[in-house]
Amino acid sequence: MATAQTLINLENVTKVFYTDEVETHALSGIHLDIQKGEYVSIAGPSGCGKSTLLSIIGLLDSPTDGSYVLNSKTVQGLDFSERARIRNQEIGFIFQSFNLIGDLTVYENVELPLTYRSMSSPERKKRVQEALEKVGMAHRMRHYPSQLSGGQQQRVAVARALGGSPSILLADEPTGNLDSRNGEAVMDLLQSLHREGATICMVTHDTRFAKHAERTIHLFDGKVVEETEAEQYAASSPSS
Amino acid sequence: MKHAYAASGSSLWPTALGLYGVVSYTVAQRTHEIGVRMTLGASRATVTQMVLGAGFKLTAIGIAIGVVGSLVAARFLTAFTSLLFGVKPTDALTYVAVVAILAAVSLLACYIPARRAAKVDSMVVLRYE
Ligand SMILES: Nc1ncnc2c1ncn2[C@@H]1O[C@H](COP(=O)(O)OP(=O)(O)O)[C@@H](O)[C@H]1O
Ligand SMILES: [Mg+2]
Repeated sequence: MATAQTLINLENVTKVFYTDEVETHALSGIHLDIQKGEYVSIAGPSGCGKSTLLSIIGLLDSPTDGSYVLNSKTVQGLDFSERARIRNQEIGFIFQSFNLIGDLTVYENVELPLTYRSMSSPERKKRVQEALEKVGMAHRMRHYPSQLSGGQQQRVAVARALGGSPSILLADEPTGNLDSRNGEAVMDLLQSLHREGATICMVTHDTRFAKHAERTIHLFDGKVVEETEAEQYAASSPSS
Repeated sequence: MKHAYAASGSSLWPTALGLYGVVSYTVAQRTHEIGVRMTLGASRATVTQMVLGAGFKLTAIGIAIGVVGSLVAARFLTAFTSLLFGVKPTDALTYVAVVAILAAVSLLACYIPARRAAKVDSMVVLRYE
């Protein structure tokens, strides 16, 4: 049921890839609701459609079939520039491979999505500073990504995702390229952002990290096969 | 005058091809970066502008070097060429015409790779790396 608190509502979403006359059914009949302020993780074996689902939620790709409502707005069928605008304002991406731009400083990387909006330079500066402070990287503002460790780069990527105050953070295996210590630090960071109210949807196949989320959606072969709630949340949840 | 145009005309094609090659190469090198920018909300117009801007910078530097170089060369050549062709190599009109033609051809040479850059599929770029 979609309510005023529903941020993401997918109904019967299907994704088929056509390559060299081969049809890949990456997703079939997905129903998914994410409420504002929720922390959801998507789990499942490699190739089961996790990244495809996240790309559709993030408006990087469109479903072959089905409907998608983001923040009470139907988003399928929008043109490229409209989708780019929504992506810029509503979505914060965090990737496995950080995807910072090597020619830009930490500051410029975090500022980048804000330059695609009509936002004054002092306002951008304020936002960049706040975001970098939140992830504990303000002291590395003038550095280039290559001068930072993987864990630090991922924290800058989190700041870049946060700077635009998006409706939801989407993270695809954010710890996949990190050692366990740095991976945990990034997970703790996401956890604390969630406590401050951020809505998060994260793909991970590390079961330790999936436990950080309130709810885990298990995908198999492009279908939702199970939904589980984390114990520490289930106990305090009024609906259960 | 005619000879000067002919000379600049014949050197225009290699210049345009060279610029096209350099800008295309840059776009290929920056495909991943362009994909990231689009993910973060860059529009196709923004990406096109970015590539055109980079191409124009190259053109401007090239033209500046060319003009200064030919002015210097002209100092030495004036004696001969004015005798041979009846053209003063420092003829202002010739310079303006050559620069204008070069700029126009550069615009075209950069436009094709710029369009190509704007068609980058950000999802494909970010998935296969
Ligand atoms: N652009 C694409 N073209 C063709 N097939 C694709 C494409 N993207 C993903 N697939 C296929 O869709 C399925 C799901 O992929 P993906 O969502 O990346 O899985 P996961 O992230 O769970 O590992 C896989 O079989 C994959 O090969
Ligand atoms: Mg994946």
